[in-house]
Amino acid sequence: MAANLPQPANTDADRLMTLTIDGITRRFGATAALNGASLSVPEGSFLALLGPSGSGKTTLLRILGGLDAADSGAVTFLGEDWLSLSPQQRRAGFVFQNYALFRHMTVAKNVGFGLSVRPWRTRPSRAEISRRVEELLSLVQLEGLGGRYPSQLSGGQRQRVALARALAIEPRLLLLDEPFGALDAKVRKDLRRWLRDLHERTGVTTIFVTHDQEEALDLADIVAVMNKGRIEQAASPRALFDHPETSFVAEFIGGAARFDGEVRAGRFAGGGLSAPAEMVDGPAAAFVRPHDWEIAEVGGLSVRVLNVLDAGPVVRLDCRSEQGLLLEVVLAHGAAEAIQRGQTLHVAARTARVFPR
Amino acid sequence: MTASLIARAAFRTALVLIGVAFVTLVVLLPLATVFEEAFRKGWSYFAEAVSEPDAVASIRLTLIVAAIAVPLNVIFGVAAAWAIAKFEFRGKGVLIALIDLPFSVSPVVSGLIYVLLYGAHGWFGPELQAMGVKVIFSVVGIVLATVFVTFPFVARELIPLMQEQGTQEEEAAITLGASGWRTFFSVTLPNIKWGLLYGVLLCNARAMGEFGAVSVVSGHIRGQTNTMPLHVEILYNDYDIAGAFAVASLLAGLALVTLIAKLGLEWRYGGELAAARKH
Repeated sequence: MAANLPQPANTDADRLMTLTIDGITRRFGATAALNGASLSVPEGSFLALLGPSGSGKTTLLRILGGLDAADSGAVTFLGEDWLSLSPQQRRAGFVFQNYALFRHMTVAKNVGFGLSVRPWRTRPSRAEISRRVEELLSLVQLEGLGGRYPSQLSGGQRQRVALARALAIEPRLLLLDEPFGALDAKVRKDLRRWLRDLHERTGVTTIFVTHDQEEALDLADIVAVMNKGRIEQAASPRALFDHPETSFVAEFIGGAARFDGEVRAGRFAGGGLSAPAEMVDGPAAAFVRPHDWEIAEVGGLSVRVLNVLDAGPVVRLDCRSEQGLLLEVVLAHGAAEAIQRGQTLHVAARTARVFPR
Repeated sequence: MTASLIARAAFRTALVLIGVAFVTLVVLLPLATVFEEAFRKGWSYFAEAVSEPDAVASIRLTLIVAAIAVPLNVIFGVAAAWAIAKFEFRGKGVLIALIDLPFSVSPVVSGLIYVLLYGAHGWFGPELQAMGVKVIFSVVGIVLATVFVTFPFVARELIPLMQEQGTQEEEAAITLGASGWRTFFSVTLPNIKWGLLYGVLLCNARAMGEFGAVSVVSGHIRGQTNTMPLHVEILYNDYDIAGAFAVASLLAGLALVTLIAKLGLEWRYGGELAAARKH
């Protein structure tokens, strides 16, 4: 870049400090796994790619890791044209969904693999490698298990070996594909917290793929919601929850019920629901989350209670509207006393998010 | 014990007996006969029969042919299995069918194809002759025919194994900075080594024992283009029964060694595969 030309003050710094994914497409035969996915997050982010299966999240992760090539589009990271780098040059640690540990190598050899395959000029000595391996094993709390084989470890232990192996190359980008998918609830929770801590300590830009929105919202700084090969919205969990920008996000996040209808003169009507809407007239869809219902004083949506789940601080009601729509209604304890299964209830939406269809 | 249980036990015993009788009659008895006939005229005749110049030449040729054909098939077999198991491409089904072709074609036919292609009056024969290369009635032809006949052994053994193992470990190695060669030698090869050894064993046994295809291209020149199986046939046709069986017993001995090694490998490699599945 020509240094003597005046540049806007922060352009260069911005580009250095950002991971920019620009219009990535990838087709497999007739189907497009990625269809112009674009995203921009600061370096050092903890990013979740969240979406239903088939939305292209894993394909995007594999492209970032150099395991797959994009048909078109660009990625800029650390000031480099990321996609033109070989996997070796990228130094992206990749943790596979089922770990992909080298089954014929001990845990220590697995973890040290990335160091031992370096060209001899930059390869650490054998003693140095085993010291680093020990260090990493203690980081993932697997001291003393270096001599075991992957088949002798539990799922959670394998997961941590896979992490240690990816961290051994001092990755510039850490990529995790459904990292907690195959683990039981307790181990999952522990590992989540541990991964969060690790990210805080190392500051490595980390991207993980998940279809579990609770996991994504709980763990990530930024959640990118993917659908049909595109990124619908990327924002903080809070912003995603409070200000969904597309109808897909509104429906996907928080398990909202969807009403199809029409907006006329600033009011949505459809499926028995009526709510204010700030948009031009036309076909629209309204989304109401379970927590956004209240008992209606007058009018409201008439629903039949199919099931009552009275546990903890709230009462969950499975309901069906007269129009046949199934929806979940969550009420505070005080508001829901004496509600019986089979009863008819009138509910009104406190908040409804309306999007054009 | 109820009647039905007794009937079942009787049925089982009968099946086992039929199996044993069949194997004895068809496999064990002939095998025993080979060794019995080989030593009929005594140990010294046996030693003489396997150490006369033509016999030694046939043993040497057999070993040379196997020493060339087996490594070639290891290289091509691994390459083919790798391509089929780890990549998606057009014509994969055709390639698999082609690999199986030597199994379904009579060895005599495959020998004849080589004569048609490289013989003195074959498609490429005259040109090759002009360059001074002789394929038919020479070691080159025997090696080619043997490579063709034994090609499926290594590839067929490796394809299901490599397919089951998938590509994730290789991908992991790549993301950790390993080069393609390094990935092959550090990750792929160790994962398939028992299967590969098993394939090599079968390939070797067949390479040394092949008769049909080799017979067509060899020309039966004593002391020059006779492999062990061909030498056995010549001795037999010369009514040197004891001599023929003496050389044949060497081949049968090789078969027994192969069988034992195969059992050993199955024992070893079976455990390895089970561990891999558990993983």
